[in-house]
Amino acid sequence: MRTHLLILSGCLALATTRVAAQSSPSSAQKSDSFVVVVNSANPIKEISHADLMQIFLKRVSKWSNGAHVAPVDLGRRSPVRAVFTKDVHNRSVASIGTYWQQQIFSGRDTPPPEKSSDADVVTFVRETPGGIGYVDPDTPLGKGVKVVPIHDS
Amino acid sequence: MSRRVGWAATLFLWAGLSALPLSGQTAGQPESTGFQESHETPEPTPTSERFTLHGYLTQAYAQSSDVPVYGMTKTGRADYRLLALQIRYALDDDDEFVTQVRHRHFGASPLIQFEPELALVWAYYQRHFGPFSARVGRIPIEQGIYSETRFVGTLVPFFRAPVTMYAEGVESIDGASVYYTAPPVAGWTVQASASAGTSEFKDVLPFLTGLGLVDQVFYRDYVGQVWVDSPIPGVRVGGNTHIFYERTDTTPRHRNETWTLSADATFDRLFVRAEHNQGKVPTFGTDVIGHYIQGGVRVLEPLTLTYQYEFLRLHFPTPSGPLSQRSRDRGAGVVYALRPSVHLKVERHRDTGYRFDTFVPLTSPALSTNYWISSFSTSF
Repeated sequence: MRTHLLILSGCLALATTRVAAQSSPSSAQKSDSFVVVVNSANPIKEISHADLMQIFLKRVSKWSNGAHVAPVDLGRRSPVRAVFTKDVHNRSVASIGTYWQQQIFSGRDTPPPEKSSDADVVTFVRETPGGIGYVDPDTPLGKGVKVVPIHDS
Repeated sequence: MSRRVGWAATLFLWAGLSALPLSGQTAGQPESTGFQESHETPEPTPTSERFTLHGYLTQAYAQSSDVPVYGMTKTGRADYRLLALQIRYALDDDDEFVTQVRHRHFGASPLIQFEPELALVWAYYQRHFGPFSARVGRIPIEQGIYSETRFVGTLVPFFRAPVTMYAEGVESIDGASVYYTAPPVAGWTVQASASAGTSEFKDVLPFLTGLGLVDQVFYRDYVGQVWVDSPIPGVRVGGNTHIFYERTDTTPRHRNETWTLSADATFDRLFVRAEHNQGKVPTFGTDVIGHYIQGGVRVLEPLTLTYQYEFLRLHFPTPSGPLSQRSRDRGAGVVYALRPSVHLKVERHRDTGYRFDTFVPLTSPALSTNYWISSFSTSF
């Protein structure tokens, strides 16, 4: 048993070193790299990191006013999604993909729909009363969509 | 059914998957939720978008050095495959039907006689309401880390989930279940589920005088599972209890109990998982203890090294006194992820004990064998 523990300890040390060496987006990068958008009909004025995580893991299904929560993701190769996922979930996109595979094959749920562009995300949110997504800050929003600031609490 | 027909069924199923639109990321979109201020009335979701299709496939080659085990023989066999198709139909945002069919083959395992070419493993209606969801029909048993995903090659670090914990024949219940997710408190989240119904148990087990085919119905089957997710992403602990009653032609109704404790730490480059299981059949004075620990580290972007140790102890009375039987399995492997949904694995195990495809007298010393498996897995 001692041998097994030594092997696992070695793996842990190696992985910890590699995780520490990984570059992660700075906070300035994060705040500049995406904005969270919701349908204009949604009464929320701001949203917390914790709530965003619950929403994008589909662990909450209704807004406070009873509307169905409909998160939408960008494609897996999107740099905006990479920053959003690291900031909100503190995980990589691949890791969240594994989470959704587990949800699918345990029969519980399916992941949010993915859109290939920021414009498609904006369109989805505009057309979906409970829609929520994230896009590059320079994306034109137009009517029917609003930005909600993120707070930490 | 012949092997040729088995492959025909596999190809037919896989061809069907290929022909259909793979809508893994296009589940039914929400309908209007009644916001009076909404600028536009959303179009009803087309029926085609309400269907979601998922599936997985694993094909393996396996060989055992000395004793046949899990269908592996000394000559090596390529007829190891797992294939499943899951179809979901969302009636609306909260209601859906889920069904999953599966085909599998385990080399020369005696278990094959229990396995139809296509098995209906799940078929249930699921409703979400607030933090709850409920299922009715043939539902997956929620037990530990891998119970529902034990055959999904892209989710398990080895060809199969640890046998100590995830025995054959304990996969689904015909009944109902309720699932609850509590609101997070200071970063902690609790998820709990309870299931009740009847289930089938089919396995080949070693008895005092030989291998026995077990084909039983557990007519009262209760399962409870709790998971506590910590504020550290990827770190969780769980507990499970499983109580079921069985009755055979030769034995009176008797109660079985198992408890499982689970710990799971999964990060981007590292995972460590461990589970401990304890069970007993008070009527017969039988008890079982099993545990495993496994870990893996991604040393390069596509390459993960894995290790696993399993232990199982059976304790039961015999005419000549109590007998304890111990089995161990040590395994090491390499997972090469071509993509997150495509994995190649090579693994080698050393298995010592009594649970083989040929009978090993329980009063004799344990036997050992080395076996290795190379496998290809994909999922969508």
